[in-house]
Amino acid sequence: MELCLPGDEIPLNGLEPGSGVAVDSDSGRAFATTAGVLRTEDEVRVENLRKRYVPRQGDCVVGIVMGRNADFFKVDIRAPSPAFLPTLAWNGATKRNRPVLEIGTLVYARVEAAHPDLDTELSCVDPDTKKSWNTGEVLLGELKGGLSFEVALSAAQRLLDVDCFILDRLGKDFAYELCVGQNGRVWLSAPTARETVLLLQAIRRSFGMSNVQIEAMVGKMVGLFS
Amino acid sequence: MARRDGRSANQLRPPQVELRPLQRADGSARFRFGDCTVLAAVYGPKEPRTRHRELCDRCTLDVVVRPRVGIPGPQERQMEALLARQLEYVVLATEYPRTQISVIVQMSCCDGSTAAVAGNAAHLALLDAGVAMKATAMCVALGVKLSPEPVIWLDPTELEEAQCDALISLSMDGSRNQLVSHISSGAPLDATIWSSCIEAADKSCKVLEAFMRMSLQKRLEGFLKPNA
Repeated sequence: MELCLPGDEIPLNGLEPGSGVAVDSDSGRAFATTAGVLRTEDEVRVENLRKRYVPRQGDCVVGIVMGRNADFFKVDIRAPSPAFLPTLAWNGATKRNRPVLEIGTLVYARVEAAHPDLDTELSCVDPDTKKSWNTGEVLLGELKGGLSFEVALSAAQRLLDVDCFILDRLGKDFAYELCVGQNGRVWLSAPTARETVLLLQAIRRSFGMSNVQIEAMVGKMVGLFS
Repeated sequence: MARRDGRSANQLRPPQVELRPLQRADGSARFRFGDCTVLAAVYGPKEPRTRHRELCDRCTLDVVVRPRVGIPGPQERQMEALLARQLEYVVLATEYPRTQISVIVQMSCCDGSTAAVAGNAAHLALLDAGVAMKATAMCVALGVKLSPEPVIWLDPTELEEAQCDALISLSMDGSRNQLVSHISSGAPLDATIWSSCIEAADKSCKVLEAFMRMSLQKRLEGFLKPNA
């Protein structure tokens, strides 16, 4: 596990620089801009326990609606500035048939345009399905019920893994619905309030535990709950 | 002349760091040299409080220093200016245009070298927040006694500061061997004493950087190791 501090030189070896790595324009050398662990899978990036999200095009994020006007919803996605979600950027939405979201609702949207100098734009259009937004069967859109909590960005990345151990293990004993945004905000919904809070605590504490420890923790939880 | 706590002239008090003691801030750190403790918190990058503080191509760095007791006064303003100069050197402000990064520094316990401890705490809080930076610049304080012969004490306590003729606080960028910022008070010093001070600060800043690497390694190892 290679730790790097800001200013440390990093050899790129032909890979692209990702988040946390910058290239000095004068000398062409790549250096780390944040403190963390160096990862060199398909791009060279630095992973740490950051909470602030920097918007990137194509990411799917969970946001909270902060305000609205006739054409946009202003959404807080834990980024340096709020993002904008057009009211017509939904499957099958027209001027007469468009969603009206209250302030405080959770939305699962995709980042359409992200540039540091401009406002971030979101969209709830899902190109894979032809269903309209009001059927409730489109993946992107309003998240009803449940509760949301925030985790570090790398914790969210681990929850999004195909074989995330904690989520699979909890799924064996509990029925729940979960939506993880790449901005670190997670939406969780379970049949009863007690279960929801138990699952929330389990997921929060599993960050940093090994599989054996997770197994022990979930075993105790099941014993206490039933 | 021997120091009261038995340290040699160029020995630091044992440093301690606690990363992310505050949960609501984007980044926070508590740093101490012996008894002198400072807590720093970073909020940002986020939207600036008022539109006119917005800079179109970079972020605004806002430093606030709060004393242990009382209302902030001219000493706190001076420390804010010193920290602002030091942090503006390290932070890559052009990565976050039209935003604001607030650094709040709270003195917990003052026992000499407060400016250096504050600088280190602020720097570590920015590291914890993941703000883009181009270098690692740690700070250290020195006290100089001119009579009977010039003696430089590294990291003076409050009692030692009262005995010194001049006090200097230096921030050095170890990898580029550059002096980032400094503040000094007391008697004027000649060039040889200044260059010995800078040399002593350089060595101790490198030691502090190694200490920081070790503490970050310990902290990240628990969270970011590949799943076993």
